[in-house]
Amino acid sequence: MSYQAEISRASPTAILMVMDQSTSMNHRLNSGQSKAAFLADVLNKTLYTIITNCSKADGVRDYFHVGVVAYGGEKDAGNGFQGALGEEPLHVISRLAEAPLRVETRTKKVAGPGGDLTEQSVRFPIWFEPRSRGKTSMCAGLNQAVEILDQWCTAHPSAFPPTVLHVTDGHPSDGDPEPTADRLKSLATSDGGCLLFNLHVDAGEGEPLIFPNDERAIKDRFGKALFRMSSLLPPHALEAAARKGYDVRPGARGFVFNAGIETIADFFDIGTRPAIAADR
Amino acid sequence: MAYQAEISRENPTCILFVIDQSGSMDEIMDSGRSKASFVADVLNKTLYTLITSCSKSDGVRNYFDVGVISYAGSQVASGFGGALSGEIVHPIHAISENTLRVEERKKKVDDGAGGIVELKTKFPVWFDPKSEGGTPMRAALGKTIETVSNWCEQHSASYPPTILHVTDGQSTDGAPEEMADGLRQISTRDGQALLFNLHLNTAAGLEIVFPTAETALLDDYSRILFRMSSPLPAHLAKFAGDKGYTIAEGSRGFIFNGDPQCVVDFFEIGTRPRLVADR
Repeated sequence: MSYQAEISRASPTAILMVMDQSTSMNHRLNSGQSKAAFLADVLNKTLYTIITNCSKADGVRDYFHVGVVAYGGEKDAGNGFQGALGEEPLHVISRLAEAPLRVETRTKKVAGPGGDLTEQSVRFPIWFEPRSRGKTSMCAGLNQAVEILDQWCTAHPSAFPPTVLHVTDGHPSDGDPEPTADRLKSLATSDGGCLLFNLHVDAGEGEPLIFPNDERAIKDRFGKALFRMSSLLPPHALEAAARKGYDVRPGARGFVFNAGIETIADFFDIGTRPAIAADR
Repeated sequence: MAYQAEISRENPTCILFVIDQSGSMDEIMDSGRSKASFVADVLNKTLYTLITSCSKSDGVRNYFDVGVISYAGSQVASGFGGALSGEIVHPIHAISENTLRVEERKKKVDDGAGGIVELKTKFPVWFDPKSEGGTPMRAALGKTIETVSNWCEQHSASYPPTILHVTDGQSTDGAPEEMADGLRQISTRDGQALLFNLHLNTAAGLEIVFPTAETALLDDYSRILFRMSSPLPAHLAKFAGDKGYTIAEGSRGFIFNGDPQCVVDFFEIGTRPRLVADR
């Protein structure tokens, strides 16, 4: 059985986000924010949640190695972190906890008992900045993920396999990404193959297609390719998805097409679920 | 030059929605909702947006006369209920004062810190979805002609009426094309009435938006609806282009099988004269 390895400090797992930062990411979502800005918020919040989940009385336990690959812009693909964190592709989670770029004060909307929204001031650490420039160099981004995780799997042969969350809104401008995705998924530890989950973000009114199990449900040619590129949801993710109320069928893939803000937030949450195993 | 008249309280323009409510509109779309209920939502939202765009510090200004004609079975009637059901066309302020009801809807919004939170919003409803019976398109367009020609007689200097027609099927009471031709002949001094058609028929092929020719349309009925549609006037062509649609010389105000976003855009582009009134 795969995806059963216990995640511990002795045997951590890896989570790598691969973020499309091409020009189209500056399109506005229904919420008024750009896709890039909202995704950066969700990513930063996810990192903060992972840190919180690893925080015990004795400090932040290194259950995870975390990295961000960003593609688009001047370089085809590069480290999504900056400064000291920008020098290595993956970091132990305690290192991340110590080195946010800055901590912002955000006004967060919170639903009150009557359903009215009230505002609350919260501290919001930033590791990853939104950007949206240049082409959609998806192959370059995924290639970099292959290089990083190939090394990681060699160094951690019996760990829970790495999870890759890939977020994009467009069609690749540097070729067919499917072979690269196949290589990524063929990387493995003794506990199973590397997991690739794809999130396709849409700015409009289109209804999202969430964790589909049949390619024919997708009309868009590139949507079909992303479906094929996505791993089957392993048991822990299936369970997390079902708990959030998603109707997951046998053969469901870690793929959302046309995601709006609600699904984006859930995707990150479900995709980084090995965190829960570490909570025990 | 046509379509240049300024829209003002003295010279309002007319926006008429003609909505097919025949039995086939209960077909479920990819989103899991029926076509009828989706179209009703978009229409209600469009009406609300029109009201908002006319709302100034002194109240809702009558820049628009707005009507809904619904057709199904043997009936062609006002799509409005209550106090609005007597006449087809009403000044926008009368519409703002006569909702059927105001629903409370839930909407997920960005919480400002990488999460989402549920917001309760007011959703005014003027038009309810329905799907029953045949498709008397010819009779509906006849009623539209009558409404539009009366309006044009009384508003000869106004920006001409815009008609947004939404259907999913084939007319069951005869050929609609000559009726549409008649409708587009009606004019004010500022130009001819504009007829834009939205054809929702998932069985008949993939999305085609603002085409310039009928050759890409496989379905006979889509071809008829294409021919029934006005070319997009320059200001609407530009607006559609700005929204990212490919527009060419001769693009018609016709959408075949638009996805939900496209349907929303169809309503927004078709009611675009409102922005002229915003100045």
